[in-house]
Amino acid sequence: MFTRGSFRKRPFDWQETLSIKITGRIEQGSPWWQESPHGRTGPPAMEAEGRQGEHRVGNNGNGQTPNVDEYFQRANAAAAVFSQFDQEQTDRVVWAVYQAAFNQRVRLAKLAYEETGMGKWQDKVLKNALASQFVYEDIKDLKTVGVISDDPVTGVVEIAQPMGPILAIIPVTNPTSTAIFKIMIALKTRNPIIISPSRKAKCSTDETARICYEAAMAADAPEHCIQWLPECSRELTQAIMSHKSLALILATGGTGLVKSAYSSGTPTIGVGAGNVPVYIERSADVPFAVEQIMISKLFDNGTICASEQALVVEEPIAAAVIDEFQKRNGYFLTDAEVARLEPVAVDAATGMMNSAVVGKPAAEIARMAGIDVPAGVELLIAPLGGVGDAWPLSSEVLAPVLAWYVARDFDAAVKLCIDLNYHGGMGHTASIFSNDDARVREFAGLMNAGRIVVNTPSSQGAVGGTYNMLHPSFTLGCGTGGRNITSDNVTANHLLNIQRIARRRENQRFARFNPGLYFDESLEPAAILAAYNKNY
Amino acid sequence: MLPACPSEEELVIRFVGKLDTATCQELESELRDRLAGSGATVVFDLAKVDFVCSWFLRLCIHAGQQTGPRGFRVVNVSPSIKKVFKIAGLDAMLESD
Repeated sequence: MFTRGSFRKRPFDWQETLSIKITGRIEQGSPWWQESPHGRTGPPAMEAEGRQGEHRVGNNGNGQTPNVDEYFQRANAAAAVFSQFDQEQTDRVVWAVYQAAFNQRVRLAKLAYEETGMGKWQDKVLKNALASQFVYEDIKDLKTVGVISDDPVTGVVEIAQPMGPILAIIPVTNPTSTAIFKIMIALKTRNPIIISPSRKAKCSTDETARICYEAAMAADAPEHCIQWLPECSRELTQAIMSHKSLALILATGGTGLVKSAYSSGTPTIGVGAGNVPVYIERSADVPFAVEQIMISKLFDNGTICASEQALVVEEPIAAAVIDEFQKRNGYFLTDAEVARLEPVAVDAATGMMNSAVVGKPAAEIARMAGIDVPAGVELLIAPLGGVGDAWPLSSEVLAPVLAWYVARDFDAAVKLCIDLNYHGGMGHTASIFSNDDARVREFAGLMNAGRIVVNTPSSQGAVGGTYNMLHPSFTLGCGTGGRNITSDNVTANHLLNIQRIARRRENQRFARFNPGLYFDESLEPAAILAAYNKNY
Repeated sequence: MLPACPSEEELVIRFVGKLDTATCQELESELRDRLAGSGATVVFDLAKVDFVCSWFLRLCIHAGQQTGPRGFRVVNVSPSIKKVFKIAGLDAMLESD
C-alpha cells in the first residue's frame, strides 16, 4: 500500500521511481511509470483502463486512450482536500516543492538542454533557481488561505479562495523552470494543477512535475494535486482545455496555442509574443548598456521572450555602441549576410521565427546561413532599413540575433520603437538605457508594454526578482495589447478568487439625501449634487 | 492651418497647434475645396501639431478617399501623434522617416 511516508525517505532517483508500482490508490492497478522511447511517460493512473461511456481522447502511445474525465475526478478530489488546508499546511507543501526543485536544478537543466538542444544548460540552472528559490522568496509570506484582510473602517473582509483545477501549458523554451514556477504558485493557492508539456520537451517537464509531486506528497499534499499529461496531442489538450471542471488555463506558449486556450471558453491567463525594442538614448552609459544587452541576449541563447530583439541607437553614440559590441564579440552583418540570414531565421511562409534557430548559438546560426564569422562571435547584429514584413529580422527571433537601427534623434528613435513594438510585440516589454528620467518617462508613455525596463538586461529584468522588484514570473502578462487579461508578472495572487464580506457601513450622504429628488426632472445635476453633499 | 505650398507634384498643407473638433469643423470645407482644386499628391504636414481629435482623423480618411490614386500622406508627426495613428489603425498614411 502506498503511503505518503514512503516518499519521505526515498531519494529523487527516477530509475528507482520507475520500478515503483502503486496499488490501493489506482483501482486499475496501472503502474505509475510506463517505459517509452524517451524513458518514461505518464502520471499516476493516466494510462489506466477506461470504462464504457467515459470521455476518451487520443492515444497515449500504448494503445490506450486517456480518459479526460478521470483527470478531473482526481483534480477535483485534490481540490476538495486542498480546501481544508490552512496556511501553515499549504506553506509546508510549497516549501517542500521549492526544496526539491531547487535541489534538482542542475539535473533538470541538463535534461532540458539535452532533450531540446536549445539554450545553455548553465543558464537553465539559473532559470530553475529563479523559478524555485526566487519565486519561493516572493510568495512565501503571501496570505493565500482564509481571511487575508479585515478592515474595520470599511467593514470589508477579504477571503482567499482557491480557483480549482488549473491547466498549465509549458513552453519548450523553459520546460523545467516554467513547470516549477506554475506548480509553486498553484500549490501556494491550493489549486490542483495539470501540466501539459511541449512535445519537444516532454521528458524534462514530466520529470520536473514528478519531482515536485513527490515532494508535495511527502509534505502531505492532497493526492493528484499535480498531474501531467501522458501525451502531447492537440486533441487531448483541447479536450482538457474545454472541460467543464477546469477552472483556469495558464497558457505560456506560442500565439496559436494561447489563442486556442482563450477560445476554449475556460478563463485563461495567457501571454503575448515579445518583440522587444531596446533604445540606447544619448545619455546612456554606452559600455554599461552594451554589456547589459549582451548579458541578456546571450542568456540561454535568447530563449526568453523578453529578450531584446532590436537595438535603436541615437546617431551621436552609434559609433561608440558599434565599437563596444565588436569588442564584446558582436558581429555586424553586411546587407548580403542579412539577406542570407533572413530565410534561415524567419519562415517566409508564416513570417514567424524558424524553430531551428531558437536557442542556438550565434556561430551555429551563422553556419546554417552560410555566413563566415570570426571565431568567438556570440551575437549577430543585422542593420535593417525598416520595420515590418519586408524586413523579416524586425520580428521576434529567440536566438542571439538583433536587429539594428540608427535614429537621428529622440523623436525618430521613439517612432522606430513604436513601429517595433506594434510589429508583433504589443503589450510585452520595452527596454531603454538612459540617464535622463524625463526621456525614460516619455518613452514609457509611448510604448504599449507591460514592462518598461530601465538600464537593465531585459530578459532578466522583465522576469523580475533579480534586477528590480517586479514579481519573479515565467508568465508575463501582456495586457490587452497582447490579447491578455493582465499586464502583470503573473504570480500566486492571480490564482485566487477573492471573496469580500461587505458589512453594513451606511453611506452617510446617501442616508441623509432625499432620493425623491431623482424623480424631479426639472433639477439640474448640480442641484442634485449640492443636495447630496449638503453638510458633508 | 498654414497656407498650402503648392507644387506641380505635391500640395503640402501645414497644420499648427491643437487640432480639436472646433478647429477641424472650421477647416473642413476649405480643405475639401483645396483638395478638389488640386491634381497633385496631398501631404498633411503635422510638424507643429501636438493634438489631433477624431474629426481630424476623419479628415485624413476623407483626404485619402478624395485624392485616390493621386496619393495622400501625413508627414512629420511627433511620436505621440504617431501613436495616435497606430492605435487608430491609420499608420499606413504616415510617411516613414
